[in-house]
Amino acid sequence: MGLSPDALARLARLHLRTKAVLDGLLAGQHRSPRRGQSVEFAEHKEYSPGDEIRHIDWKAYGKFDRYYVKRFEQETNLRAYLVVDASASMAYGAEGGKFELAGVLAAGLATVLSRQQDSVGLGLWQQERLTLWPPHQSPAHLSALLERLAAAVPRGGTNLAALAQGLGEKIHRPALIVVLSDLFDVSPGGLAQLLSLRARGHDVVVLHLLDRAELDFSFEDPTLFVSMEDDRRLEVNPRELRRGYLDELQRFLTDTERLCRERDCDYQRVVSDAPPERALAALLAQRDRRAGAGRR
Amino acid sequence: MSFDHPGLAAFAALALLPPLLHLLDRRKARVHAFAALEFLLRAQRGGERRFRLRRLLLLLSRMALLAAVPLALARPHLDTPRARATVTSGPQATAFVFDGSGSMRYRRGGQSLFARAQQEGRRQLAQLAPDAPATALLCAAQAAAPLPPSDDRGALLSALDGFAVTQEPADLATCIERAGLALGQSEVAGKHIVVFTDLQQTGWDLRRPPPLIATSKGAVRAELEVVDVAHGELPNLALSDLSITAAPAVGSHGYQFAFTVHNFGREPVANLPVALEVRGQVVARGFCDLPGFGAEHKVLAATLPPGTVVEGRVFLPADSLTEDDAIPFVLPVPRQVRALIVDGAPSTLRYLDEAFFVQTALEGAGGAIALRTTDPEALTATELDGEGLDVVLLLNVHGLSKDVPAALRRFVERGGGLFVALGDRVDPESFSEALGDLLPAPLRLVKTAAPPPHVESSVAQGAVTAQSPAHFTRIDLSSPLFAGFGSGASAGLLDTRFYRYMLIEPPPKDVQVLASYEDGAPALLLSHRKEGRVLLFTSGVAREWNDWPIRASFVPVLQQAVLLLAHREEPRVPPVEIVGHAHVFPAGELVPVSARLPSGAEAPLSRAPGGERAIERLTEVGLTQVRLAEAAAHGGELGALDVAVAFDPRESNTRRLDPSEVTARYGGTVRADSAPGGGLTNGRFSLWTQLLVVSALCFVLEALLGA
Repeated sequence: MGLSPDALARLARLHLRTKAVLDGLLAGQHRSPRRGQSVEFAEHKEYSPGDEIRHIDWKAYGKFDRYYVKRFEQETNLRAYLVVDASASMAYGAEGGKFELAGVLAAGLATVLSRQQDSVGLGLWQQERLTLWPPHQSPAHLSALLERLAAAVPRGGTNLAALAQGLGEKIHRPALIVVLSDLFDVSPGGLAQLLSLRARGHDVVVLHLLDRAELDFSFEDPTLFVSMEDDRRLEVNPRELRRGYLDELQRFLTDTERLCRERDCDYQRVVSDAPPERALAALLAQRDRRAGAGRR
Repeated sequence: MSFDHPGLAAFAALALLPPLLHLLDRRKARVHAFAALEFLLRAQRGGERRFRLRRLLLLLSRMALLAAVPLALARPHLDTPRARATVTSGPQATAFVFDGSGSMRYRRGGQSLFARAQQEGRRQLAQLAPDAPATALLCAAQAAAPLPPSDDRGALLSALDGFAVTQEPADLATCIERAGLALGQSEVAGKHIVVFTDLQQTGWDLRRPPPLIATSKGAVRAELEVVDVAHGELPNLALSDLSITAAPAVGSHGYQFAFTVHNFGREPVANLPVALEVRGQVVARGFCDLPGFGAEHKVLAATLPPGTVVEGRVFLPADSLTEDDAIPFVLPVPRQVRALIVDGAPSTLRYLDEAFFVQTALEGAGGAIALRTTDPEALTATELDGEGLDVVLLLNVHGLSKDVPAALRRFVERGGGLFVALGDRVDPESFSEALGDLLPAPLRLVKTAAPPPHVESSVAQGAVTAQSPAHFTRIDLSSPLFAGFGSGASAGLLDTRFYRYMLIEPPPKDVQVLASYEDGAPALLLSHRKEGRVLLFTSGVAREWNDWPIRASFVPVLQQAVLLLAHREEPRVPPVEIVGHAHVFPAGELVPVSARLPSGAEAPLSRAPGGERAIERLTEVGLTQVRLAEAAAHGGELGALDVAVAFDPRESNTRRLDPSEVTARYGGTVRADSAPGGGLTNGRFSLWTQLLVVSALCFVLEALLGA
């Protein structure tokens, strides 16, 4: 099925912005903490029962008369799922809204991971349904993912609990799950359920996307605010409600960050008017620190 | 509740503006799809009640502010129960007295005080018992006697409707007495006098005792009720005491208009404009700063067109009592003085000409004097007997034609003026003989006080030669000749040096010596001969005999001399009459035939005790136009007898009596009227100050809530 003209335009824009993001991003390739099959020799280890016999270094046996097995650095056995929230609230904001920002970030991450020979998959939460494309490691697959991202249009409501359930059902092997969402879920406990994926061995990263207007609430004139995901509406004088709104929002942000920390999940807030590469760089740096700490 | 200014109260409808704007704003609220609506809803749920209360308070405070300010400015008041108690119980005969004096023309809330009094009178009349006898009386300078008290309400209402406020003062004490007399005609025992007035001080003579009314049971005192229709102070700006005098300093037909500007109000007034208007054009303006209850004397000056009757006014911006904001005037401005210079020593070099300095001085009179010059031989009796001359100046004339001296005598006796200046060519003996008693005194001989500086040798010409020049002494500064020379300004005269002058015989007693030399010899003499005047200057008007012609003092004195001789030293300025006064027309050629008041009504003419025509009573402020007999024949004098009438300053003074002074003298009560638009004085409860406080509180509340 071909892409619509709008989707093609979005794809072109996505490529463009992704390239800009990647140009600005430092080469953030990470080494896998696991050893595996690769071409790059790492070290010798004395053979012990259970090791692969085909990894025995026979030349070393000739020299030392002992069995050694070769160990290699492995770079590409990571399975990553980039789960993008395509609910209607993600359309909020200028220049395609938070959803386009999510697309840019997801594309940037996918490209980075793909260059590291990692497998990248995509999850789209749209119209209250999760659509998942399993990870593969090939340029064609990456292009296909980007096309799907560009073709997606934000619709429906946010339901983090349902998203968590869908991910749990469809992803059986431990994987890196990067969730790109504004996390504006009306139902309580949704985020906690999503973060519970960590308990199943998944590495969960939350990229929390927010628009500047949502953070500042710089409205002045009497306004009829209409919900983007349901039929709720509220006519207020924004000056009257600003303080209360900002308090509520701050409480939400604090709770979200705290919950992520408690559940050992990475959390990175991304604001619409900040350069996306900076957010990605911060995320990768944060993960490098966590990886370093883990190795020590 | 009623208001002083009901028109302003209508602006209280502005209170509807905030809710209307609120509703309009609701319609205009822009729609915005918002992702984080959940937090907004949570915030709104938390403070909804508070926000709603705050919005409501804000709306109410704005409405109250917008309503309270115009209501306060409309000066509302509540009538207290005492104020509403009007006609007493029991059978009573009532006399309603309406103050019809000029101050009752004061307008407040778009209505004159008199109209308010009539309104209140009708209201009280309606409240009388049907069989209660009543009468009404207009208190004015000239008012009809009141009808006997009766229960004929129709006749009474008709009389009340016929009452009209005057522009003259009224004596309320007398009117109360007259009301008492009228009540005496009623058999009803109770007597009640209700006076509707502005309580203006000058209208009440509290030295007069309260009237006693004769009844069958003896003299009784009427119950007096004073209804105050003024509602507090009556600030008023007024003009009075206009006096018009000639102002030679301004120009040949310059006049100065001096008047007093009064502020009959507590608040000082700054930069109050006053103006002088002539024939509809403002020709001079000024400004006054008046303290509260203060006055300022003001002078405006202007040059007026000669030979016409000028009508105009001085005025200030109109206020609540407009009649005293302007004073009209009528001013006949005299025509040019026609003067003939008889040059006894003409010269082809102008500065050597005997008439040179005189001509130069008189030409500087700004057109007031029309000059013609001739020589003694050309002067004829026919010219002098004609009507074309006002003043003749004989300058160093050696001799006159045979019949000219007699013609000169006739000219002077007819009212003409003769100025005689001497010189080398004048032979004292023959000159005195020719003019005879037309001269103030016969001439004797020339005295040389000192040789003139431009004459090389001292030439004694039949007199004693002194060592130094003579000077003026004993100048009669009260004479119009020296108008403008005060005691300090006479130095210019005293410095004049006289080298020669003519000694004269002792002058008769009726001759005025206006200035003398140091030796006591007269320098300037003025004599009157029938209608005319003769002025003799015993020195010359050329430089040979003195240096006066080249001194600054020469010009004004010579101009004044010509005006004095032409009887123009004090131009006739008709007085500005006061309304209510009589006006007597001056006897003369101009005969008034009829007079028309500013309203267009005819004012009857009568005869004054002296036989002159007169208007017995000037009843209207403004210009009363007088038609003259054979007006066409007096083209230039048309309007010359018009009468300017000003408002009576006593009525301009709107200071009020303290009600307690009236009750102390007459007993009874003083209360405010209850007509719509009524305000507060005595017996009322003012609300406007409270409303102002409410406005201020609302303003503060609005500011706090709005922030």
